[in-house]
Amino acid sequence: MKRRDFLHQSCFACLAAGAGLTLLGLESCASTKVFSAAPENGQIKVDISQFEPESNALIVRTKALEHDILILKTEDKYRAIYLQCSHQNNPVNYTGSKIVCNTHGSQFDLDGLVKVGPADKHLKKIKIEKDNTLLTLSINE
Amino acid sequence: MKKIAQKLSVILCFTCSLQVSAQVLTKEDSLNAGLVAKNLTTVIGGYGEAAYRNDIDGKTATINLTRNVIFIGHKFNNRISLFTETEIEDAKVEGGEAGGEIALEQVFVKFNLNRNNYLTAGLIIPRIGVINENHLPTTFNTVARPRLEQKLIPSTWRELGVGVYGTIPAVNGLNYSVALMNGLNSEGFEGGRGIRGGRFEGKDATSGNLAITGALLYYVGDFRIQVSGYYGGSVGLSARDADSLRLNSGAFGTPVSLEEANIQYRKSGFYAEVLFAAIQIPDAEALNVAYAKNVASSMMGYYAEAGYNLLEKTKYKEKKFNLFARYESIDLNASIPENGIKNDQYKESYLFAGLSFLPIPGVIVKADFEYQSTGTPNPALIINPSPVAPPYLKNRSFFNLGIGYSF
Repeated sequence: MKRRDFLHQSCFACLAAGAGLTLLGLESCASTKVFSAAPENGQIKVDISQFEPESNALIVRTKALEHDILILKTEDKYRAIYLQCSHQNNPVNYTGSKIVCNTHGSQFDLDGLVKVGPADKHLKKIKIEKDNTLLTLSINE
Repeated sequence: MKKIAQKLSVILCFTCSLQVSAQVLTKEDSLNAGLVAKNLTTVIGGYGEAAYRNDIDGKTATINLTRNVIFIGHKFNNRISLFTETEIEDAKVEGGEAGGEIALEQVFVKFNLNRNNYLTAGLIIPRIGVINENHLPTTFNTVARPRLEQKLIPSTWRELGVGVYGTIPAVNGLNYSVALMNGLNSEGFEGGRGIRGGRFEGKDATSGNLAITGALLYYVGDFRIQVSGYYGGSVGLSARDADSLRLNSGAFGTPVSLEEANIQYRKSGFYAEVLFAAIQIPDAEALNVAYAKNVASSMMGYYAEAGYNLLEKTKYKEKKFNLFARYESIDLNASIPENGIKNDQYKESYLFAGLSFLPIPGVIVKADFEYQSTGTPNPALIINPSPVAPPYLKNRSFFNLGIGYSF
C-alpha cells in the first residue's frame, strides 16, 4: 500500500464525519451558564435573574455536592435534576435537548426519565420552590 | 459435631462483622442515601449474557453462558474513585482445556480534575466505536455484539494507559477523550482475524511502543455523533530484535491506525445507527516477511441498523419491544501488500433481523435471524486440504436466542 493512499484513506473518514459533525453543530452551538453557590442549612438560593436571557437552563454548582444540579424553566415552572447517573453514579451532561451519561451511554429526557439504558432508574429530582424571584433548592431531602 | 458447630459460628461472626464494616451499597442505596457527597462508598454492579445458536444449514446448535461480569467501584473521596470489572467467559475455565476466560475487563483509578474533566489511569477501554465502551447486553439488539465491533474493532479492547475525558462547556453536548496507551503486538496479527490477536489486554504489555487515541462525541438534537481515531506502534521489541526481523520498533514504529465514525438517531421509538471503521497497516509487507501471517495492509467495514419500539404508542412504552434489522459489511483484506495473498473469504456480510424485549431496563430477551455471506476461500491458502472436508458454504443462516442483564 502506498503511503499516499494510506494517508488519504486514513484522513477521509475523519474529515467526512468531522464535516458532518460541524454542519449539524452549527445550529446548536450553545452553552449553559454555571452558577456557583454555597448551601446554607441544606438549601441553595438562586435568583432567577441568574438565567441567561433566552435560556431555560441553569447549572448550579456547589462544593457540598459531587455533581451539579440542572434547573430547567418551562414558562413560569421550574424543576431541578441532580446530574448523577442512576446507573453507576457517574456525572451526566445536559445537551440542550436531553441529559446523557458518557460513561455507559444512558440517555434521559428533560424530566430525568430514562429513555436509553443501561440506566434502569430515573434521575433524582431535587425539591425546588419559588418565592417571587428566588428559587430554593433543598439538597438534603 | 461440636467442632463443626464452633467453626460455623466463627464463620458466621466473621461474615457479620464484614457486613457491618464494609459499607457496601447497592447503587439504589447510594442514591437514596441523600445527595450530600459521601466518602468511602462501594458500589456493586454487573452484567451477563447467554446465547442459543442454531446453525440452520449445518444442522447443529449450541448454547453458552457467554459471559458474566462483576463490577465493583469504590469512591475514596469526591475526587478519586476506583472502577473494576472482572469477567468470566463461557461459564468456566479449566486447566488444559480450550475455551473459557477469566479476565479483568477494566481496572482504573479515576481522578476528577474538575466538574467537566477527569483523568483515568490503569486498564482502560478507549472510546472507539460504540460497543467497546458501552458493551452491556441491554444496549444492543442482536444476541451477539455487532460483528464489525468484534472483527474490525476488537471489542472489548482495553490496554494500560492514561486517559483524559471531559465535556467542552462552551458547546452543550460536546465531549472529548484522549488516551495514551501501550501499543499492539503485531506478531499477533493474522490474515482474516484483523488486529484482535495483537491486544495485550493488560498482560505483560510492551511499553516501548505506544498508542494515542482520541474521540469527539457530540449530542445534538436527536443525534449522537462520534468520530474516533487510533494511531500506535506495533513492535515493542528491542531495536536489535526488531532489526533482525527488519521491522521498525520505537514508540510508533510499524504503525497501525484506525478511524471510526458513527451516528445514532433516536426519536419517538424509532432508532437508526450507522458506523464506519477502517484500519491501515502500512508496513504489512514487512510484517509478512517477519511472521508470515498474511496480514492485510488495510481493512474496513460498516454497518447500518434501524429499529422501532413496537410498544411506543401503547401505555407500556416504558418497556421496549424492538423490531430491528442490521446489515454489516466487513472486508478484512481490503488491500494487501505485494507479498500477501488475497482471500475473498475475508470479505463478509451479515444481515440480521429480529426482536428484543426489555420488560425492565436491566433485562433483555433477544431473538434474531442471521444470514452470513462470504466470498470463496482462496485454495492457495489451504495448505493441507482434507479429502473428507465438507464443501465450504458461502452463505449460512443462523437462528439466535439470547438473554442478558445489567444492574
